[in-house]
Amino acid sequence: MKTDAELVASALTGSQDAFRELVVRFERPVYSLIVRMVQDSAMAEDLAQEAFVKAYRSLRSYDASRKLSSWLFKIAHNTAIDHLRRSSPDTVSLDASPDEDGRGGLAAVLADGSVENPAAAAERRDMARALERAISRLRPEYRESVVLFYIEGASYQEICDVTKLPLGTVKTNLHRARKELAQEMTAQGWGTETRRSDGS
Amino acid sequence: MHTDPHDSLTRWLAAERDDRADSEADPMAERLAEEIAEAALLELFELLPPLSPPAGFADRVMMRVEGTFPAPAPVSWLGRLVCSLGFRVAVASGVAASTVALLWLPELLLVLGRLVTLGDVVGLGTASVVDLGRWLTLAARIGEWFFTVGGALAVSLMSPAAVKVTAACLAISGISFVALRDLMTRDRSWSHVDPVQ
Repeated sequence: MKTDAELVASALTGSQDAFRELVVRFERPVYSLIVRMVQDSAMAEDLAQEAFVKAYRSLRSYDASRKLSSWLFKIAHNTAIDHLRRSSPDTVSLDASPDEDGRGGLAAVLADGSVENPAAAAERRDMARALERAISRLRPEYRESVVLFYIEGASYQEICDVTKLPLGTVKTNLHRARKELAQEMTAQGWGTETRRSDGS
Repeated sequence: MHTDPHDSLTRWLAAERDDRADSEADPMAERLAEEIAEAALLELFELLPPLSPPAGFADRVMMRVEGTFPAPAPVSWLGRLVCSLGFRVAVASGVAASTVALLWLPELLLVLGRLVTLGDVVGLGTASVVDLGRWLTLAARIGEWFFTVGGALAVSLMSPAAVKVTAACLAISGISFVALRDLMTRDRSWSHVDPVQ
């Protein structure tokens, strides 16, 4: 399997297949970041496409000594911010049923039915919804750090590169975000035995 | 690996409570609680199904970038000029005009031969050389004047007061540049975005 740098080099010589492979490789993390920032699945797809088009156009400026994912996250970050600044944020409720936004919504994407039994599946779905709801209520800069660190596995330094925030600020944001998530989950009744018995 | 999500959640929230309780008492215990909380939260996030774009996403991206393929290879400015449509049109027009003009070339030469004598040509050449000499003399005088002014300025700038003023101007310019760049960079920070909700 070709490395990211090899694919970038091939794409720069005009290989469409190489660039397509890069898109396939990074479409999930880029989309995952953007959809959690703008909270609209249709808009997130459009913005993720825009981010990849921007990446293609500025592929020559990519520094191969850095991780490609960090560079793409940076472009996704800028694209999401530009969108949020252009328009007043159009939020989609995570509680919305799949029919309400026509595209399934974030909650529908989270409702993974591939879990072993119905009770466990229901609990997992409820918990996923609660967690996503808690994430969506974080401040944007906290939310972005949480998605990058806990979901996409980015390092502190990578988050600094993407957000252009100092290392200390990133660590503080993550710490505070974790506390706020815990408060939100507790407020929703999670983490107690009663909730477990309710869910099962 | 299927970790029980409820266990992860319980460990995480318990560690957060311990962290809060220990934060003023024991830094080591606080650190331990922090590590447990982080690990449990990571487990919990692993249970979330990945958010993927709808099928065919890569194809739609490729359709959007299709018009720009192949990727621009590193080409010199001369190469880009030669490849440009404008340059090609100009060359084609030039060749066409020259071809048409060839039809009237013999007649044009005959007319010119009657109008212009050899003496005229020599006179024109001599006048051109004299004019060129005058322009060169003028350019040399202007250059000399700049050199004199520059020398005088250099002497005055060597004084301590002038050095201080120059340094202050440079410092102000530098600070302004940094502040401007900072403003432009901050433009994309989350603090400049209305919070969602």
